Amino acid sequence: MDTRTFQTIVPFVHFAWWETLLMRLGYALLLLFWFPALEILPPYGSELTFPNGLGHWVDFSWALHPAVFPWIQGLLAVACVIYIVGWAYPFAVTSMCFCYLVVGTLHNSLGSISHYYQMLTIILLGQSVASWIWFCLPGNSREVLTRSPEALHSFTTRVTLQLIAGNYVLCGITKLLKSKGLWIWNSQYMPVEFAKIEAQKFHNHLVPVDMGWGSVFNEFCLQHPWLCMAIYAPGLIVELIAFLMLFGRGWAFWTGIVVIGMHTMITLTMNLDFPQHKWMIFIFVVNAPYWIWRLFQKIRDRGDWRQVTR
Amino acid sequence: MKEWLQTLGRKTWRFARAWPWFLGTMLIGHLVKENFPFSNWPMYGNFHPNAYYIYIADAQGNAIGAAVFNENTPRIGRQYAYEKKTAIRQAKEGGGNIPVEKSEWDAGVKMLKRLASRLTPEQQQAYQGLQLVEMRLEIGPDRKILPHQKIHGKIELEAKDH
Repeated sequence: MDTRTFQTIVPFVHFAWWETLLMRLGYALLLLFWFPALEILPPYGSELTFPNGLGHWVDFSWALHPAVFPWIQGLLAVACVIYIVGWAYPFAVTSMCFCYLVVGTLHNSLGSISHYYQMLTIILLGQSVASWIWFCLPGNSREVLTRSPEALHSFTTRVTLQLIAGNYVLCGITKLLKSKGLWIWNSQYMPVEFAKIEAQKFHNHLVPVDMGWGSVFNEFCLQHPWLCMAIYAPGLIVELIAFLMLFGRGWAFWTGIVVIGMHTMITLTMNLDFPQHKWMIFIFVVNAPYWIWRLFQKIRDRGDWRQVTR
Repeated sequence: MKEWLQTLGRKTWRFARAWPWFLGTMLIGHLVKENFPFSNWPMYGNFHPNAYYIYIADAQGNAIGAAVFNENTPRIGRQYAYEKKTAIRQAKEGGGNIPVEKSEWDAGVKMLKRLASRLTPEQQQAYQGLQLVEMRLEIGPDRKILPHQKIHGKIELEAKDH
């Protein structure tokens, strides 16, 4: 494969200023909305028995003080506004990354790892690193501080897409490694996991939980293991081919829709919902505003514009 | 062979040049594993014919909701798994011939003591004791899910001021 062929299948996508502005707006709102509340974090003064990540070396428990936590929320809110505007981007995105890193580390130091905040923080970390690299390039620093450079935002968006794709593919690879290649075959045992999820939810408050369609579906799968395998196999395949979102706008759109579909299926069948991931994919990968703009442009070019707007 | 390796190296380099963040995040996630914010995403990485969960019961064996301890059930399970792993490792390092069951029991008791410290005197009096229960689920011969219960630790409670 020569370089030209490779560039054809891995096109360089430039994102317009208004696309990245809408992406930043959407992502900032997502981050503000899903920022962990103080109530779900360890109480201030309690011993963090199961430190995770940076928590092994750095004590972040000061952030749990009821007087300090609102300052972190405030910092995130201010940084989000600057992030949306796009000025002094490296400082804004690094501040946001700091807020999520501290609080996410504490949330994961309670003895179990939840996967709600990892992707959000990895994206912020990647955007921070990418923007500082950009900042350090000769002649860029002043523009980055005083303006909102379109090229920088386009670059960090491409970085974001690679980070999203990389983590989905890694998820698929880990499944293959952990199951020694037998994940699809072993997925016939999913109903046992489902029964466990149901029992665990019950034991949280000793209140029976409605598992919706999942109960009916898993009962059926229990009796028909082949059906179970046929239904769960596409999930693994979607994860492994998530890199297709890097092949250009069209591929990104369809891969994004398929990944959101996979998450919706997981919600229906396993009662495990990851709304943050779905929104993240919708914002950066599906990139609906671009396609709406494209649609209107096509209609306008055909001369039907007046009919559409009338 | 040498030419083939050179071609492979060239192609890999082109790929890495085009998608460095893609490859970088996969490599870091794989090596660093579950350390926030990185992850290799091991959840539901494999399925087995059986699965288990942990819950806490009072002295009479009646289940107590995890929320009473400001916890949730998956977290209690993972905390116990961590304590159990630590206890077994320490037993091995100690060199003594301590059975695994004993290490599991010690881990359970340690966890129960920690959870008990979060109870009010009234709750301690009402529950009288705590038990750490493992419920194992497996697919039976008639393709029904069968539960098996095992206790991994017990403590008695005395009502006392915090």
